[in-house]
Amino acid sequence: MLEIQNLHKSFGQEKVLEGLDIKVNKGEFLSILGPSGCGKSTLIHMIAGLESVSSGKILMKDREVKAPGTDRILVFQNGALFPWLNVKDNIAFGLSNVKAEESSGDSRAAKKTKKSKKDKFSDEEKQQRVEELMKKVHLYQFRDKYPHQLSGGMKQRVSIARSLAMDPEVLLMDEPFSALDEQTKMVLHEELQRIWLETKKTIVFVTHNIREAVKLSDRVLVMGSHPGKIIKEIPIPYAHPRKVTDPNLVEMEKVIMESLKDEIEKRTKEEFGDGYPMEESGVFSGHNYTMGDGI
Amino acid sequence: MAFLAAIIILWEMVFRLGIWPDFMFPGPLQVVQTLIRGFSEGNYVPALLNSLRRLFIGYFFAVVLGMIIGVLMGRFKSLEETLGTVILPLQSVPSVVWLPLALLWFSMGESAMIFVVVIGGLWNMIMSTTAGIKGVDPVLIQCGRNLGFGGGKIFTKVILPAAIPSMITGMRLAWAFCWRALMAAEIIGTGQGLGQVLMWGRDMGNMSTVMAVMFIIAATGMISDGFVFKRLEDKVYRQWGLM
Repeated sequence: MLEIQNLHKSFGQEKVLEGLDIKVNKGEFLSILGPSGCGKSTLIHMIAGLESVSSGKILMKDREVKAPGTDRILVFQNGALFPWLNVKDNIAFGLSNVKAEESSGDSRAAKKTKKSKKDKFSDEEKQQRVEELMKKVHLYQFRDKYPHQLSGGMKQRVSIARSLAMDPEVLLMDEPFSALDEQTKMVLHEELQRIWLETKKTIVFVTHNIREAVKLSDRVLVMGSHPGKIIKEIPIPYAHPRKVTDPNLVEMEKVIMESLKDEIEKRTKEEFGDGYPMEESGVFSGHNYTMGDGI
Repeated sequence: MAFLAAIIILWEMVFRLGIWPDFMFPGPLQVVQTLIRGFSEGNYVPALLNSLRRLFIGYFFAVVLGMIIGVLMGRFKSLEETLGTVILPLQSVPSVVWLPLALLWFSMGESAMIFVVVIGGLWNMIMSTTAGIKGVDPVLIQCGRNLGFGGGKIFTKVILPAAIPSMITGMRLAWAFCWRALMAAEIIGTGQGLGQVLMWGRDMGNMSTVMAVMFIIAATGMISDGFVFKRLEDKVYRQWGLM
């Protein structure tokens, strides 16, 4: 479905990503987990075609990704809703760009054939899609509200619905829940899991939250930083839907935490200097499984 | 409100001290009387309408031209680097300074005055529009591209709407600047506007009329700003999540 081959990315002299090889299978929920600044956001922007590739390849159904395309839709960290559009219009915003047999990436080719290509959805279908999605994310009664009237969780649900409306082959999610409070986050985990099970979409999910990754994913890729690379691949072989209290999952969290030990030590040394009492601090034995900005 | 009342009382007290003769320093009652008389005798309404007509025409051109130039400057760096550098110095020239030139260029006094009004609001409208276009949240642009929009559509469907709050602020400022420009132009120039009534008061040595006209000018500016522009601006800023 989606394949990343020997991908490198640098900003000037700074190497951000080095030699990434990733294969995403159809229908899979893949999480990319890493500390802040490891380049995971850059990676997902590159898959979306919003960021250029320094070297290596991103292949979507064997075609190289060079530009944004409606086969890969990104859910942004803060929702990125258009404040001048209500919920309904935000969700419908990109629908007219979905063309029949839309293929990956090459916007130039798409432009040439634009006139001959028909919209994938008729006007009635568009309307129906939007209505269905509003119901799916439980926002039907808020359809005429504007983004400033919505809570953070509602905004993110609109954003997810807007992305699903495009019927993408792959749904890309860039830390979509990181700005939400813990309760809202839990509700949205359930929602996303349900949506995923219903729609069977392929999802690439970027996060720094271990619990989130373990609960939702089929497979977790753990990233290290400076430069960003995959340090471990961890399959989560348990059936969905899952409960976070499941002892298997708690065990998984520990495994991931362990694999990140070196990474955290490295970063802590960078930020605190050598004097930080790593062993006594309880970072690895406590319950702090989420990696925020403050590690 | 209490403060306003205090000022009026103070004014009346100074007036009663009789330091200056009545015609030089009228009291509030006299001014109110002059206002009432002016309106009932039909001197003020035609003058106000004349002024408003010039204001509307000039303002319209200031806003339309300002938006067009502002959008182009926001879009094309080369234009901003050339034209943009002269906008700021031009803005610091009070627009009434253009009147002698305008009177020469346009043989008609009316067009010259409207020209001054346009100049009065134009620079601000340009700068606010440019700032709005350039200040669009880059994530919204990325999001538009992500949802399949190309260059032109990104501009009309994302950048322009996102720049609306800034443009509204520009329109509000332009209105105030146009109004000032017009009054200055009318005092110096010709025609039957509020500025002329004010100058007529001066020529007659009737400061009561001068003050009455000042009140009309202030009230017109305040009402249009408070009831139209401030409300519109608040509404837009709230919806765009900027306040």
